[in-house]
Amino acid sequence: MFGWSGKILRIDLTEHKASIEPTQLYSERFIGGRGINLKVIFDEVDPHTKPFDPENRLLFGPGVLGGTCAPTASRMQVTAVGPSGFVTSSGIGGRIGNEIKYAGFDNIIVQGKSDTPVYINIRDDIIEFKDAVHLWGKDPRKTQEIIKDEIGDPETQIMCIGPAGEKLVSFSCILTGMYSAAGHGGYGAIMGSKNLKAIAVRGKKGVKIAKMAEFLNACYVMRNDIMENPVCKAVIDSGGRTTAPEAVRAGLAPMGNLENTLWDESIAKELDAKGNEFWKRYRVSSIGCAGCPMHHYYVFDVPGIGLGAPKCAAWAEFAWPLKNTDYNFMFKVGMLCNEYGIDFTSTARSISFLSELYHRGIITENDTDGIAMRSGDKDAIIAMIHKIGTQEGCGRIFQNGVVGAAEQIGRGAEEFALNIKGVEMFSSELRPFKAMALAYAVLQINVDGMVIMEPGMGKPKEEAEKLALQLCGAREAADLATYKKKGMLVSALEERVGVVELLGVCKWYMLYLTPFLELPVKLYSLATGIDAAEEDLFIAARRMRTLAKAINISRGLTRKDDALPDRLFGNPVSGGIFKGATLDKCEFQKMIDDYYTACGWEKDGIPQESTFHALGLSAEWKTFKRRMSREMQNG
Amino acid sequence: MDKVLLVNPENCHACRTCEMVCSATHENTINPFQSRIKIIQWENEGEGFPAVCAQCEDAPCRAICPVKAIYVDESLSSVMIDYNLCIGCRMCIAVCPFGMMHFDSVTRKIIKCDLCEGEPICVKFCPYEALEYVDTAELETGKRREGAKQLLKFLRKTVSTQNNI
Repeated sequence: MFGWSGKILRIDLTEHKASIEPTQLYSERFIGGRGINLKVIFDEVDPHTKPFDPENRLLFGPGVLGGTCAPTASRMQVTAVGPSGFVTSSGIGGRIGNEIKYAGFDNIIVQGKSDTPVYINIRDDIIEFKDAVHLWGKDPRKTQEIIKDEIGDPETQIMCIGPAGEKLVSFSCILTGMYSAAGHGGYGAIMGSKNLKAIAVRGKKGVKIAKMAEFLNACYVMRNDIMENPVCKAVIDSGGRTTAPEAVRAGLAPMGNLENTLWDESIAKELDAKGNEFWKRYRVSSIGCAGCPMHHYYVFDVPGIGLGAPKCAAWAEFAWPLKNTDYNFMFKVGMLCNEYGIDFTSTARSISFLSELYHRGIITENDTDGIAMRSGDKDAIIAMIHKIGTQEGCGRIFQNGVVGAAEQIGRGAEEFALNIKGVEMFSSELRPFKAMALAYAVLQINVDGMVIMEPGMGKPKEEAEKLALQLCGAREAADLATYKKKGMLVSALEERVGVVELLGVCKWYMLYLTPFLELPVKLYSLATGIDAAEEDLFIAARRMRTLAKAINISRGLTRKDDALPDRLFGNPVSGGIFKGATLDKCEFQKMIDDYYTACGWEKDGIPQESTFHALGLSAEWKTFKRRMSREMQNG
Repeated sequence: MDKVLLVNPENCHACRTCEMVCSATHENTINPFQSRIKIIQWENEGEGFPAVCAQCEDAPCRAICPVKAIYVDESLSSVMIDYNLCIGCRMCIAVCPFGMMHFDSVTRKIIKCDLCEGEPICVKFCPYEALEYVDTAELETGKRREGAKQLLKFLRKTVSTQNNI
């Protein structure tokens, strides 16, 4: 096969056995990456299987363009029924996905549970199960160092979990290198539940391309497009230091536990100044994921803290949610989270949740081992992260995230556990952005913050309207404040995000540079030799969406779960450029109706039979129907 | 024209595109293992370094080759392998001080950078000029001027400080 490696690797940790299956079983309808991951989960994971059961699957899918020089195509999809009980998926960058392709695999399926901690060493066709008892408890960086030494190959790529993943913390990540992680969604805990510490890969097979000369030319065009894009230029010039101040200026930065948006231009200026100083003093280098001209990961060496590269979310999640403008502190918190292998967003949400409870008098220092969780208190924040990471003392209440913590605390704490379908919510203001608010609520498997980009955000009116027209056939969808046509818009954007996830291209490209995917689709055609139109891949993305919905519906998801925390409704935005903006509950429900209609789903969110058939999912419909009627019989 | 592949490691962000396009051009497959250029990466330090063949004037690989399969292409001043003569003994790999002679276990051939007939594909794709293909005569001009400027700046500062004292 061209583009695809042609093989899927199945690893059974119970039996310590590896086997190979042909990709062709899946690739025609589900393409690759997240598509194949979801199909395997649909087929193999029973709706009654619990997240930490050995029967749950953990899947890795680099995507069809993964491993090639297609610009930005190194985002591997990690998919599983997460600790929340629903199927979710997250991307991981670096070079691990490429290496899996070079070893000759399009996807990896991990199932079962090892009796003792192990790591897997993949050298092309040789798959070894190696003892990991001595790695248990080690942080991700140390783990990678030891494995490289043991294997004796410094070029090996490794993804692994930290101590929090071993202890099944529901927001633990899978990390690779010093910077990239499948962060939001709890895949670290799934890996930990299987007693799997790490996967090391080195491949020497490479990827075959159907039309190499044309492929290289098209890669060059896409590379130039990216490099000439003003957004890309701005990011490279600023080196990421504008993340926080620009978000504040754009009215995207709600403080604390999404309580209010008070930061204004004066704070943005302060962040500018402090960011400039921090970058000037401590920045060592910046590193890109494989094949990406944007080199998004900034490496700093801060005396007393160390060398590290927390991803850009550190400059957001540890700023306004923790009411803090100190870059040294943000860096320190990021490093600490990476050490334990916990997600930035969920950590920030957990801390801000405790702070709100503390200030409301729902908890006192007696509930948190003597730590007074005052808002923005740096010592308290660091102490609490240690407790979460080690799962000691009050840190244990976070094993099941903020939802679990709220249950254990009781006393009405549930109201303040901001989550969407059990996963901690990203710290972004949503009320002024109706489409984005809808997307956060309904896009079921995209649990990370980067969900969609509204045409109306940061663009002049005329340009935004033209874009909205092209995307969903309705100019008015460009208006941030309107609820009209937003269901269609979100559905259309979701399909586009889906395409990049099938191919392994970075979502960044689609979200921030251009929503038009002619080039990635052309690269897909040239790589595989299959003459595909954009529409063909949109259909595959719709299949993926329908299948994910079907999986989650049979796991008990209802329309009620497609929701945002109550806090966001009724109360107007308290400051910033969108002061006064509100989200209306009734209008919000109408947007959900529109979105369901655009997807071909019933009012209760269940995909219609005709939708399955139209997408060529008739066999899957039968399975889904059988599962649903079994549920009905069981009451 | 006498040109050389110049490496500016400070511009390298380890995206490894050069490795992928190198193997694509030479072996018709995307496989960094079969690339002539190598990015040495230290993932835990966030550093990368492009390693290329120096096309040495007095090349150890050429000197050691028992069958005289390694020769200099005068037009590009590049050190080349004559595959009609090469016996694959790997002596060149043993003596190259930079580790830039490779044994490709896929094709079972010795491979090395051939400067792509004067249009190195790695240079074309490198996003930030970590790789440049420049005239040998101009090789150090830029660095010399930059170095001199720095020195001048430093001296001026010192002199003015001394004067103030």
